[in-house]
Amino acid sequence: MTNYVANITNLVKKFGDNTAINDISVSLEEGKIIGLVGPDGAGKTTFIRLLLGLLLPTSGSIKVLGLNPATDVDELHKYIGYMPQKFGLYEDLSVIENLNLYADLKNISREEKDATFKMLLDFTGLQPFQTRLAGNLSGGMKQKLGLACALLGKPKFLLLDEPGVGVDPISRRELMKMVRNLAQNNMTILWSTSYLDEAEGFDEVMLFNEGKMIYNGIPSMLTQTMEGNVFLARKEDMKNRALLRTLLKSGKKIVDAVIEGDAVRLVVKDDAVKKEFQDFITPVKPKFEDAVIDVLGGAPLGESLVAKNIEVKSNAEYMIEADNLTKVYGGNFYAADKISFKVKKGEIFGLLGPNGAGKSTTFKMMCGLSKPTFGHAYIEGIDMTKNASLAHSYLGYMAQKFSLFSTLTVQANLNFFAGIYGLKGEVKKERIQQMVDIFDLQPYLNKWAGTLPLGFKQRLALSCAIMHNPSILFLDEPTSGVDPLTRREFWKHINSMVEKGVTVMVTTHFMDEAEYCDRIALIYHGHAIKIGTPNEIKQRGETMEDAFIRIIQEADENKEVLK
Amino acid sequence: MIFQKFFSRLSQINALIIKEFHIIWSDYRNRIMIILPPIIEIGIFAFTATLEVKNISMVMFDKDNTYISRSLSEKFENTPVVKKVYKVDNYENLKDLIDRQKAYMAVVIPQNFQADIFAGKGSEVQFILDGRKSNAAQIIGNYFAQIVNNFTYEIDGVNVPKASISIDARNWFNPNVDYQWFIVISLIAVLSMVMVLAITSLTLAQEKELGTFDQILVSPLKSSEILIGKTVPAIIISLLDVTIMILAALWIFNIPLTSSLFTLYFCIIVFLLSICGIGLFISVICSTQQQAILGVFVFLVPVFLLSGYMTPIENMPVALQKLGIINPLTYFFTLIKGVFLKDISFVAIMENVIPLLIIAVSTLGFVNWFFKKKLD
Repeated sequence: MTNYVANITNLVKKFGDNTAINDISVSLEEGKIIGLVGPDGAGKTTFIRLLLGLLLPTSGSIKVLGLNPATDVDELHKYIGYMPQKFGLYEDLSVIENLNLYADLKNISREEKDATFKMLLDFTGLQPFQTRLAGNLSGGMKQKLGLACALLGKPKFLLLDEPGVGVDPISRRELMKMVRNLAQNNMTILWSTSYLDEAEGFDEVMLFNEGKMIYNGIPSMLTQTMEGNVFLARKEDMKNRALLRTLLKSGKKIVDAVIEGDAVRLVVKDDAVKKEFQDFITPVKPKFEDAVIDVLGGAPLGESLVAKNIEVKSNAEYMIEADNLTKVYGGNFYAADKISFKVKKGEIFGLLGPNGAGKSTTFKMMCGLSKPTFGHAYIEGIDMTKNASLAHSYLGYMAQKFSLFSTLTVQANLNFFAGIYGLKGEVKKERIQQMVDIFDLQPYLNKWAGTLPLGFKQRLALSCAIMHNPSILFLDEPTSGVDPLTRREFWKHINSMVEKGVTVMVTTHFMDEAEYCDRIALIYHGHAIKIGTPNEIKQRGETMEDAFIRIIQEADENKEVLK
Repeated sequence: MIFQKFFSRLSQINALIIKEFHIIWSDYRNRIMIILPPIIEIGIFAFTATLEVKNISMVMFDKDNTYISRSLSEKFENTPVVKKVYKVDNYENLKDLIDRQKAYMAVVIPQNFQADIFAGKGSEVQFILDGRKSNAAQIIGNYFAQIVNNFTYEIDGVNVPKASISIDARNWFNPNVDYQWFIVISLIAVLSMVMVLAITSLTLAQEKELGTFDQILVSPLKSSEILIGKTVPAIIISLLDVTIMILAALWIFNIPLTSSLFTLYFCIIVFLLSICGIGLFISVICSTQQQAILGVFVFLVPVFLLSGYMTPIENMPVALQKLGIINPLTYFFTLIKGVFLKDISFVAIMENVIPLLIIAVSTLGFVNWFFKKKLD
């Protein structure tokens, strides 16, 4: 007989006129890892909070572990582990102090504590870092500590809200492995995510869109529906980026098109279109993501207007150049060690690496936010340390987490960024209006930037970065936490600018995003351990993520590389 | 060409300044924080917190009960500061009244008071003061001593002439010892300081938290321009508050302004610049708003205590007095009181303005260096 940890029938949750959860009925089976997948604003977090009794349903019923979350909250919380999107770790407390605090909050007896802590620390591999302050842990380790805290009190049902955001693929895999172990001991795990490649590892997925559940079942079942509809497109006379752009604006019935290696991954269901394209497409195995994009109604098509007026005049040989960049902290810690690379006009250059490997340090030195201990960073041939002001005028910069002035309106943000980049009068007005039109910001102009949905924050951040027509764009995890559809749109804009000669340097944790790069530098322990095109980095048949993990493991085995 | 470049840079700084105003103004909590303090502090603080002693209650224990003792007793009772007199005939009652804080002080006139005076032996009047209210006690004690002195002088006139020394203190520049003058003027200094500190330290720390400060560092703005963009709005907003308080000082409290308005504002701006430097300095070394608030307190309390606002600087240990040379508030107190009340001389202004300028240049210089170096 199958046991269910949760039974949900006809669940509805409204916030004012806005329906966040629209008539969902589902039962969650015990001992399974269940993925909760969907775009931003689909209702994933609301659903989790309803299960926890942190929100009350508008109508419908919920039973979790036989209890009603609305009335038996206290009883229910004894059997539940919850890790919110931003787990409330106290950054000024050490790992063990955080555990202690949460153990006390969960009323765990002193005798039990020692054994539980030992088990959890072994389990999460945090044993050697017990006394380190939580604030000094890397993103992946923070998530592991958060998981450990959520596991205190031996919950039967574990709810994880986007545990993979901002975490590198290695840590994500480790996290998944840990959770898999837990499931074998009959714990049920609900894991919400916007990473679709994660979803393939789940036993079951619930796909949410606009408050509705549009798919519930085994991921591979959904993937199968795309059999025969997924292709790789290649044209001799066209670069992958140009081909992608042509396909997207062709007006043909295309479900999805993204860059993969030197080709374009194309999802087409229409037989006529398949036939028309048959000369340059070859079928490949479908992925879960292909199917999800299809269920969600397909990728945004058409052409980006962003690049219409862009003209890159520079004739510098290399637009971006890192020359033996080295950053030493405290005299002996090399956060970055002799990193060198050159980026040509119209290239996308990616910086990849695990959390805390030196990727951010390198990025910061390149854009002048940190002074290299040795070495130089050049922007269009200008030394960043010598004339930062001039170098900065060529740059567009989009910071991690879309750093906008959250208490300023969208209009005021646009005015400000136009202003500090020296745009004035008519030109300024014109450029701002252009951004508003391209990114559909009109309805939000008088709203505070902090209140925008994530996707619009990203759009605003991009508009602020490109308003002054920079010839170089620096993007620091530009799509972190953003769903696949929004990411496709974002890359559509970036690609169109690159086609016009804009040079891009990007850091990312999404391995499929790394495919958009012309060249990639893998940074590990402060060294650029591999630089090359995506195809050079991947071995036969490997995904980008596999390649990433293989290269890091090779580096770990062969310490010579790091010396 | 040069002009064009100059104006282009100006418009960039302008964008920074406008943004700063927008941010401060966009949140109603910020608006309240800026408008309310001068009104509240002037309104409540200045009227209630007074160092002046008024409406006191006293105990009178006249053991002699003769003509002379009664006329001395009347002198006390008829002084305007005394509101209530408890007459007692034993020490127990006296003690009780003082203990229960019914009265600030007691006067004991000894037996044979009249007889001793007429015999030319002289006599003693005992004051018992409530030491728990040391400040008020000191003031009343002095005041009453003066009454006794005057009384001695009077009876000397009719009786055996005797050389007696009388103390005649006169309060210059504030002839009526109107403590409101002192408090209102000090408040202008203190409030403008707190305002600038709050604005500069919090806005920068907030931008660091949001990550927008990185955005600004990556823009073509030069470090000095970012510095101007942070300093100017804070000073303008505080000047607004200061102006409200100056108007209140002149029109509501009728405090005379003996120097010129120009001198007054010149001194204020120099002072605000030095505080701006300190505020930015604090926020530069902090990474969160919480740390910045703590930093501001760590700075404020000693600066306030060592400024001579609450206790005279002369009463402090020498080492602490020496620390006063880096205390901007001390200089500014001298300046603003001087400008308002004693038509301060040019030399005296310079003696106090130059140290303030040194503080401003060194702190702002450090902040500029920090912006340039962009430490992480």
